[in-house]
Amino acid sequence: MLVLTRKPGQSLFIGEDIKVSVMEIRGNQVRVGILAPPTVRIYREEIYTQILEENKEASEFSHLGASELKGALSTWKIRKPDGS
Amino acid sequence: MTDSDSDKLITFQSSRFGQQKVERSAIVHVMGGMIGFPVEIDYVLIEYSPPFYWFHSVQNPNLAFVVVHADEFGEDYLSLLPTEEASLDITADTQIAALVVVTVQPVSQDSTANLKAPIIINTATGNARQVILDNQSLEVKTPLFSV
Repeated sequence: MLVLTRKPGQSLFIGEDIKVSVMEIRGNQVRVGILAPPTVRIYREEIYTQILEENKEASEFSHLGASELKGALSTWKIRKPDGS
Repeated sequence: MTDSDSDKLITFQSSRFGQQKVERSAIVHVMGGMIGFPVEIDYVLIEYSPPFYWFHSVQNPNLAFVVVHADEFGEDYLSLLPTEEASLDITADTQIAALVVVTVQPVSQDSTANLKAPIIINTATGNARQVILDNQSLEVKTPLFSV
């Protein structure tokens, strides 16, 4: 991992297209600004990891064969977020 | 004028369902792959037990996700989906489809839906992406079923 030290107002480039700037430091928090093409995904690590883990869990359901799954899923009715 | 290539049938293997044939035009290209699965780009939607589909990898016979259309969660959820997504050439006028990944649990009633990271598809191009939504109230493990 490359570790650099920056002061507020300073920036660094990742490749030609991505610019990371330290905007301000407040207490133990750093405000970071990122300029990148819209095709580049930017995620907080913890949320990215959470989605990744969920995808992995979702892709594995060997505990139920496909036909049992069909029967099991058809028993229940999907609830809408508003509770209906 | 016909484009015979897009009508071509593609064959792929599924460890759950055996050999599958789909039209090439039905293939969804997930840019960057599903999060955590960067290698597998091409998927097809296979009807299963309505409203559930399989979102099945064309490249990996073992890789598939149970999904539902985002419509299942009502207008309130649909209104939270992005209206623009530059990487997919999506603007407010573009026709999109949105799928939500379901995590099936051994006790099926405990199954959950990932409303936080739907798969957004540009239906004209077939390009898609799993997009993580900003909205703080959306849960990765949203209970799927009514009691």
